[in-house]
Amino acid sequence: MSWQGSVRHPVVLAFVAVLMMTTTCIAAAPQFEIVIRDHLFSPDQLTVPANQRVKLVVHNEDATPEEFESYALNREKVIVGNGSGTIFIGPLKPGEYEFFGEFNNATARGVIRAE
Amino acid sequence: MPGISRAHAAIVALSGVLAATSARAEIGRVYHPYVEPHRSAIELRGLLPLESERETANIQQFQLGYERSISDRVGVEAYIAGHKPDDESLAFDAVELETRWQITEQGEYASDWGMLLEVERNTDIPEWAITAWVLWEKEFGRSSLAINTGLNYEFDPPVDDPLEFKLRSQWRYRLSRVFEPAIEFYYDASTTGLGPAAVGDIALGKRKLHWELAFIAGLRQRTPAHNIRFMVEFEF
Repeated sequence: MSWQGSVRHPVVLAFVAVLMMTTTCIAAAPQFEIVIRDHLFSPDQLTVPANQRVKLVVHNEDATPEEFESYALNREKVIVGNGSGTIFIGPLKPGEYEFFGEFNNATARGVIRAE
Repeated sequence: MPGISRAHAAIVALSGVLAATSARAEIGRVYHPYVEPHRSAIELRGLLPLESERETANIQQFQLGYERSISDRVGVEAYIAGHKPDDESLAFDAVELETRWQITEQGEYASDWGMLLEVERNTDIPEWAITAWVLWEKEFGRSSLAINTGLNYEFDPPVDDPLEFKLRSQWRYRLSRVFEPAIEFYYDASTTGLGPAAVGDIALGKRKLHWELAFIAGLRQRTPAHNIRFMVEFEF
């Protein structure tokens, strides 16, 4: 087992450096809540602070599961029927970010506005 | 958050241990540290080395697997793996079990963390091997960088140098859901590979088809000069 030889390799050293530089903890994120009811999001327009990490708690009051999905936010998460899920988003640049329910995307649609 | 600080410190320490070992390399799937709850998937992946003048074995590799999440943070996968050397027929000669653990919620911290444990039984040689991976990912605007570091241990039958360090990474740009350009890098004792890739998702109602395609160039003589990597995964 060539431990010392490996440690000298620049690729390995660079990788470990990247890992260590990005393990800084962050402050608690402000929390917002969204409810899924009758395959609709409520509210369907949500304003959150820009340039700040935000915690979304999504409550699904329908009996069937729904998937919160947003390509703009790079998030997708299944919320079971009569259950809840937590989704962290951001920090977001000011603007609008669409989201939808993948299982009922004709009705379950919304927008997050960062400002 | 002292609890999280300790968890991160432990992960960094484990990464350091993994990084301090050495051995061979491979070209395969770059994992993301996430588990989609209430999901199942069937996956086919392959690696096709192209003809070259290098003295490397042009062995095509295939894996067929089934994946299922068993909780919000844990998923299990089972694979059968096959190899097709030049002028020989395809033979499935290995089985593999994987457990993936999503340690942090996506986006909760500055980077996202997970772990993957693989147990492989090769019925042809035969041999047992286990690999522990640290999965790491970080978003940079519309880009994401994923890095997998693994420590492979061959324990049956005993070998002279049983530990092998592996590194895989993928940078991707979220251009559109169906097509995301990417760059992949692979490193271990016998492989150094780098090349362009593309990944994407095709929505099929409540189901989804995920695809990946990469052209990986071998950057040293022990690695096949040109390799095509592909994967299709049907989620339901």
